[in-house]
Amino acid sequence: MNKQISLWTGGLLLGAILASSVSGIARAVAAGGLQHTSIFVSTTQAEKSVPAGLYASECGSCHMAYPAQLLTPSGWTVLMRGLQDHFGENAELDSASQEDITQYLVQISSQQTGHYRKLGNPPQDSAVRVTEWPAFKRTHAEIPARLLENNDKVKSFSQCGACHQQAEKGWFDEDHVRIPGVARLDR
Amino acid sequence: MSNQTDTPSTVKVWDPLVRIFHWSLVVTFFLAFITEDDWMDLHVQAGYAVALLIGFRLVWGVIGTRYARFSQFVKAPSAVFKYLGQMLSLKVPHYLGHNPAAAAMIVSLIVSIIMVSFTGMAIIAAQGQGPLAGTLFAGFNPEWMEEIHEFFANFTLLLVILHVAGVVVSSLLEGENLVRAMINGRKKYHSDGVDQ
Repeated sequence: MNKQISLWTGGLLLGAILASSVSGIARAVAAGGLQHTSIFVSTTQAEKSVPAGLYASECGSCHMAYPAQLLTPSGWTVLMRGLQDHFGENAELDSASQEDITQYLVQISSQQTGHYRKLGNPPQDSAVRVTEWPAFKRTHAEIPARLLENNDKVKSFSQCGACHQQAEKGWFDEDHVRIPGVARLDR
Repeated sequence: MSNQTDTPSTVKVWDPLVRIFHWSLVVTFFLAFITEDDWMDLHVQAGYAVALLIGFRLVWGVIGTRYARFSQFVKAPSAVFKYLGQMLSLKVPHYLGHNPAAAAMIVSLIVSIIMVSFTGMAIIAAQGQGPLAGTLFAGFNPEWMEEIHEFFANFTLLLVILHVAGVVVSSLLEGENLVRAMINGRKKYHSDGVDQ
């Protein structure tokens, strides 16, 4: 190919690539790309809504209000239908609250599928125990169970927030892990 | 005319597109590397930029200017090992373009970055996002893809470190600032160069 022609062709191609790259990166930055986003892309209007507060007060009074993205929509539906036997406890709510909270959790968890990025796919779509997901097991394989179960400050793998200091905000990366009485993982 | 009596100076070797490509890749790769888990949108955009730049380089390696073409500089492994041996004995033949070891580094970097790009797009394809969404690659196990993605991202960083070390060593052996050559495109002319 003639040198001038190929330089023009290549120049146009590289120019187009750089233009689209710069605009893509600029859009990501403008959309809050420089804020520390969790693996759960979050903070929509719905998360600040009345049902969100209801969820935090009703469910969060006994345990951490798990980020809605931790289960699939059908997982939440199954879980919320069985509150009278909630992992061995009776956690029944009045039907209006139950309805509102279910709707909220289903809505948030179906908004994006970003959590599959880290957690992989659930063993089945309606799984209600996140601790049984293959990716959960894989990422926690290095933590001996006795370290948590004999630990008064943790007691169980289901107490995310005991070690993941920012769990309620949806941050589960290693930098924010501190197993009480044991060690920081980022040291 | 007068040039022939002047002391041999520098000649244009790297065309502008090669140089713009190179430094754009440096910026976008590191942007993607540091944003990894924490700034996902930005990470994905930087990753697309890296992938597109590599795509450009593959095209330019075929239709580009003389010293940009793979056929000009990619050599058989035997030639690479021979050149590395010569580096150890501190006596290397002059190449105006990429030397055989540098060529092997370029090929390694391109292959490694292709692996990172492909697995990255396969991970998000599993969530129905990105250019591979809806293709058979979306069915690849995203956890495996993520492991491979992280491995090759770190491997690419290792290659980058070796690449910079190679540039420093070659600059010393050749008595020429090769980083500057990748900025202004010019290299010293040696009458005994083996590839001109």
